[in-house]
Amino acid sequence: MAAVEIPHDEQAFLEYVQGGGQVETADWMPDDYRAKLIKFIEMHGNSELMGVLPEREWILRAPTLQRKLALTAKVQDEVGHAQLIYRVVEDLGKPREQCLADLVDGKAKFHNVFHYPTLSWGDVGVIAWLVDAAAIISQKALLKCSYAPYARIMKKICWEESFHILHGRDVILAMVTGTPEQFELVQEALNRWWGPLMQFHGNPIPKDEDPMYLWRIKSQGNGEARQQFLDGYVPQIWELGLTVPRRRVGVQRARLGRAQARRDGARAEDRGAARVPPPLPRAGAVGTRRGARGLSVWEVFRRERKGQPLEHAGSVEAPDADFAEAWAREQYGRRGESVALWLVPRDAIRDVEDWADEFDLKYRRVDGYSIKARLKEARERAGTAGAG
Amino acid sequence: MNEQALLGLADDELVLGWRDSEWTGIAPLLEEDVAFSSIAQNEIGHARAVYELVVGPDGDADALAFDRKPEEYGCAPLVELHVLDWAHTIARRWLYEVADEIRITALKGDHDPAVAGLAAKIDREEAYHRMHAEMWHERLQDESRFRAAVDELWPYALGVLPTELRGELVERVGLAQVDAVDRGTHTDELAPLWEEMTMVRRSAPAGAQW
Repeated sequence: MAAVEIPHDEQAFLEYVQGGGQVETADWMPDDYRAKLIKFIEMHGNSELMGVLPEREWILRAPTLQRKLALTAKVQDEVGHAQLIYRVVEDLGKPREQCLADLVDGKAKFHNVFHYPTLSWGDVGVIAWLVDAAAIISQKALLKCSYAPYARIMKKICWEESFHILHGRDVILAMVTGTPEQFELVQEALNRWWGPLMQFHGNPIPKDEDPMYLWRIKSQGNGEARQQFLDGYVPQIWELGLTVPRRRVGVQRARLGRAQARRDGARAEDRGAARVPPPLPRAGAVGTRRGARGLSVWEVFRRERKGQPLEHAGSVEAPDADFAEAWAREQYGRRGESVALWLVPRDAIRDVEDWADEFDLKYRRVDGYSIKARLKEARERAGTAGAG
Repeated sequence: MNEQALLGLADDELVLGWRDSEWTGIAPLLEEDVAFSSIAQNEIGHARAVYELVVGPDGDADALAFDRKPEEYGCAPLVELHVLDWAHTIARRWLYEVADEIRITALKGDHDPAVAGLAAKIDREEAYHRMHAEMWHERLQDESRFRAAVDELWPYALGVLPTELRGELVERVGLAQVDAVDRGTHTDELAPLWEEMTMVRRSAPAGAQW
């Protein structure tokens, strides 16, 4: 079977991705597709990174050792996801340094939900449980992204995030079974976050008008995603005796048109709430992160279990082999998900992808042989037909 | 090893892990951020294991970790310092790792098998910390900012170890013996750390569940 040729034509490419076709980094792609990919994936990376700011200060206030460990691990995951995602953006042509500069200068967007402050330990639980639940719904829909390198890292991201929801739910369960004050703290946090949660999946535009869906960067519409969140989580909230703020319960709301949503929408600035800039990190802003100068890319392969083949896991940028090892160990093995890693400088890789198969080379494969008719004839001749 | 010394070890790991987790989310590189958060978690994990050993199977390690007054903690001043730049952060990590290796090696020979066994487990995880610290040390050792940070923190690093183990640290680090900033005193930076570390716990009345 010859490899599927990716059409070098915008309309045909569109049909290709809409038919479930996937695209790799080195493949031809329309400029508009590349631009949309960069915009979408960069915003995802920015959101992972900005998402750490409202949570990270609570690492220092976590009330038990277990919670401190779990919250540190959660925030660590978000940073790791930013790293994975920016690597994908870099391979599409926009350096991480540029992404970070645009983020700090306010030129690049990040998810609206991360504009809100985290006011109590109740918020920490609600964020980990429900904001991450909403995020997982979006991210699971990216597992089928037409851009394959992004779809692949999403597997790791979804796998890692699934513990966040459990951690969050466990924080909430502890508090709702604690004192009445603690229960109240959870209800207050839920009230605060419900608006942002209902906005999480974006404006309910029909998916066929959503360019990210047309290019099959996303595989579901915003309305569907929100509905899935409501169907899955409202019953879980109710069963704890918590209430969902009425006005925003959104089974219908989620289906409202765009204009209506704009009027009713719980945008931060309208609510007079808390549209404070995210707290500046104490030891220098994100912008002080060093750029990619002097770093090179190492491709990482991992073996999940003894006896399994090595599989490509992703990449890290590092100044030398020792740093690459120290960083890859944690990025690709901190949960015991690997028993071995191979680190390969990208420059050392020779990329081979093109095989000519113009003159029917099927005789080299089993699908090149059809012996049925001849076997039948031979059996008849030998008088063994029907025996075997 | 007596309980006070064990608590000193656990408090060192708790407070240093706490300080190191101040970098989670804002370390100078994303890759380093992930690695550094793992180290912070490991330190907290070691603290928890030692607290659990001290309180026994029915005890409450969290209460021991968080419900003491700041002056009751036995940590060394080195780990309390609120260092605000990467040079100091790495200088402290490197000095602490060298000192900690000397301490853990001694503990592995402790007469109490529970302590010796725990020390061996901690030592296995510390191998990664040492690799990380050495790698950064090698890269930064000729930088004047880093060297100044090491010099500044050196008297504090000596204070991590009991006097009988300090000679080895002097030899390993290659700096002159100076007066140590000893364990048993606290810096002004412990109280604000404690305030923040315990604020959620202190915010709820008895019967709260976390």
